[in-house]
Amino acid sequence: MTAGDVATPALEPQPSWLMRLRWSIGLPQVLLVLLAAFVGFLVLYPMVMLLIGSVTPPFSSPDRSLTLDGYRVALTDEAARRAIVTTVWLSLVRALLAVGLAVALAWAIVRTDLPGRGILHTLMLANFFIPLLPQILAWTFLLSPRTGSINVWLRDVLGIEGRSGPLNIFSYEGIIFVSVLNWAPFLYMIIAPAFRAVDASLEEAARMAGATGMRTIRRISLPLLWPAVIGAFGLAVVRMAESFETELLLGVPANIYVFSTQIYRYIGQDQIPQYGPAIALSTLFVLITSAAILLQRRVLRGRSFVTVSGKDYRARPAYLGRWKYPILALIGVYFLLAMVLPTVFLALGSVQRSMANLRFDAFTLEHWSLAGSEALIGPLKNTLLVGVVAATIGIILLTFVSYVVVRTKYRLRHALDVFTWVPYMVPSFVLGVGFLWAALRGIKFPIVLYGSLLLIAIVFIVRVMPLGSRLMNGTMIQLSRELEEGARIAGATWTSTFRRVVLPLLSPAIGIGWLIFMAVIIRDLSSIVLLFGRDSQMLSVVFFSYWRTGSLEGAAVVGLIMTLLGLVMATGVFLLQRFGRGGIEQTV
Amino acid sequence: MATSVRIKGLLKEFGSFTAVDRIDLEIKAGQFFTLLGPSGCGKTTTLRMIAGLERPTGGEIYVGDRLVSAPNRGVFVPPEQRRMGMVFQSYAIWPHMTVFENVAFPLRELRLPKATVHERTLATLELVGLADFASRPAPLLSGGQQQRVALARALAPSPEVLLLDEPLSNLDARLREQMRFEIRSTQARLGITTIFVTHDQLEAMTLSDEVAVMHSGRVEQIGPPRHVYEQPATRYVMDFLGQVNHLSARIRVIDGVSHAEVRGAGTIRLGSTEGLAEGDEVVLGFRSESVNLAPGGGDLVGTITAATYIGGYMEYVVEVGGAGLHVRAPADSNLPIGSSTGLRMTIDGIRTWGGSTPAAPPQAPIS
Repeated sequence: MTAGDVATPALEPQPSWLMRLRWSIGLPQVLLVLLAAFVGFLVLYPMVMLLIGSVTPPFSSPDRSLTLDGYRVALTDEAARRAIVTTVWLSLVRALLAVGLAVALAWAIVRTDLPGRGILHTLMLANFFIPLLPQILAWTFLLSPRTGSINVWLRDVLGIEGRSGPLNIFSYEGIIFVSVLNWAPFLYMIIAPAFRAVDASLEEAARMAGATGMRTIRRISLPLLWPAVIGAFGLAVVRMAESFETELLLGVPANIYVFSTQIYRYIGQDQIPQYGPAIALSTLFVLITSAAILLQRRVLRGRSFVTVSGKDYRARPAYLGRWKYPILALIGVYFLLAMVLPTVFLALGSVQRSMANLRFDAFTLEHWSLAGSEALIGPLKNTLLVGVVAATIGIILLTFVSYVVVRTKYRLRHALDVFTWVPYMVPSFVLGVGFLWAALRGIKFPIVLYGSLLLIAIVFIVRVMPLGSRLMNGTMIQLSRELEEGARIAGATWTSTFRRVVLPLLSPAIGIGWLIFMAVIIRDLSSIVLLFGRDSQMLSVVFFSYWRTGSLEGAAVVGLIMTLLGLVMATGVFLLQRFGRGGIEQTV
Repeated sequence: MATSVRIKGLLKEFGSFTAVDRIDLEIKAGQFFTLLGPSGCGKTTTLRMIAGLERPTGGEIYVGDRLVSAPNRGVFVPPEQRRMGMVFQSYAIWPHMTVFENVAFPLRELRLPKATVHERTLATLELVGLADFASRPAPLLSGGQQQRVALARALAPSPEVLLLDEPLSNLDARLREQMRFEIRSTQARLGITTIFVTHDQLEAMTLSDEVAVMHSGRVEQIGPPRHVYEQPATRYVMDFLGQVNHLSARIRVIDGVSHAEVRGAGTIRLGSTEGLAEGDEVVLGFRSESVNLAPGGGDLVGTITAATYIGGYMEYVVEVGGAGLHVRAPADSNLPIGSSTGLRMTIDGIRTWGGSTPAAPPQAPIS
């Protein structure tokens, strides 16, 4: 301050450097560091344990020094190598077919004047929430070589001699068929918004410029949608590569092994668990999926053409004319195969004495007595408890993380962003391996984590992070910053702005996120199949136990309950979309 | 080659909603024709049906002598075969192509030889002043440049008809004025039949040879801009084309001449008695240029309630018979708020609505 300033004395004292420092490490900063530390620990700890585990000698070995034996075994094992090759080609083929199907569905439902598009879209949503495990069971019921209902019927109709075939679900074709049917809805949810976002006048301009409908699709629509389709394809390859359930149920009986089931074979099925090669294979797996994801991001960088344009923007549907009903019929066939047929036959099978011997004149409810028994009530309670706890904690964490990442300028936000993305690169089965090793050989906590519901809840919180951060970031970006600034100008503090402006605006997305988390937790087997204990059984685990012991009717009952829960979540999402702002389809 | 466009009984229904309600239009070859109306009046739907992007429910569209759309006869020529060019409101510049590729697209669809495509693309870019931008990727263009690319793309194949769907609405005010001028001069130079859709009456006034004012799917009036402005056929047309003062009045016929009596403010001699009878309750409509301040004289008396300087002139709000009239006056007029003033009316500028018999149809265009 100079002497000249005396006439206008400062109303407030200039802050000293000490005061400024105190200001900059106030309560928000402390909370932020705690949040980052908590999320970072949850995500990184199992990864670190995975790395340590991969160089730790077996329990039985007297030599305690670090070893690369695990890698040596895994890489020289003919079975492991075959599994890797199988994973690669199987993933590519399935991703190609599933993306093709999803593109066709998205185009027909989003971009044409097909009758009943709204209902079809809702059905896709419902389909997305139907758990995979019971669907696989239903298909074995329909297509197992000897007793599969379709096979019996085909042999009858075609007059085929013999007692098996002509179709066999326990095969590469079977795995591909079931995966493509069941992954299409997920990919549809990713592709449909991109299809919707393409300004229809770009296509109309091509028509006006003299291009026919087919040429417009080839020269305008496809190039514009290419980045979205490539993105979905990359995602599909990664998700197919990490997929576990289909391969376990349909591949293992036919002696087909992929990455995840091979790891499971090392740990779960042999007499002595071979942790070394299993964990080594897991780290290789993470390496490969990470490389694939980074490659995909590189290819797509700066290539998103999908632009929502000016004010009067309104997607105008393509005119199908006489193709309308043939296309509708094809979509009907899809829903028949992907939802109706399996679910109906599952229900039929659950009221048969034996699923292998379908009779329309003899029904029994004996398997449904299971529904009221302790064998099922416990796991059902566990599933709901873990679901509610993990989904709630997960969505709260992610709401704050997303707020920090999208809305603030703290340097720690980059770290938080990365943390929520790390589990995306880790196949869920491998995540399970990491947590298994962490529980067995990691830091000793006062309570035993291995086999506890707490551990399962933690795994799921980490598991849903990438999905949730994508959902919440997408929604947060759409919230105009001015809405918040308006509240601050109007005199609200940060906390009351967050509580009274941000949260209400986010609440539909929070609700949808919670329901998706629940659905994931209900259906998932891959991340917990190594972790459950006697008192921490989940529905998916019970399903798998029945399957393994050959009690298919019991599995059908459990599977139907899982399906029902999935549909409850789908209904919730439907209602939130109908009556709230924002939606799953912009963000999943 | 310029071509006429004829539309007969054009109808478009979306379910139970009628977007375009049996309209007839006759657009002469080489004309700049404007469809003017508020959003939702059916003007864009009409344009899209002419383009072939929307299928009409009924009626016929002819381009020259060629019938391009007649649902009752099963005729529908797809848009790519109608030889029209169109500029979209969003410009619809393909983001995965360069400027050159965008403009060359329609020429390549015509299967022209490579050299011809190249030559004509560059010539068209020259026409819109973008020759230097040929190799630029489309997403790197400003709004005005995108607009020019869209125009070039529409014009490149030398279409018979040019369709413009609110092409200026996404530009800022200054650029809009410039583009307005450029569109008009390009159209005049090429002599191409042009159909222009807008909700902006200023654009319609300044660009058009003829204007069709649309409302709720119907055409309210067609005519040269000046005629439509000065002789509005309906109260709706008058209101839509600029600020209008309204006054309630009662008709008095004095010596065979009708007068409008405004309660508590005076009487205006209307001249014509056509469509008016003694005792009719009517609404008088007139623009601010048809009324002048006449302190101490005039036809009506009112009280000044507000005065605003609007650059070059003053605008007063004068309360007359309970209504506030907007009246312009020279910038140096200096009347205090609250003072009373006389108003002199220009009788030609007054329209009466709501007489007991239908108003006379508008007269022939004023030259």
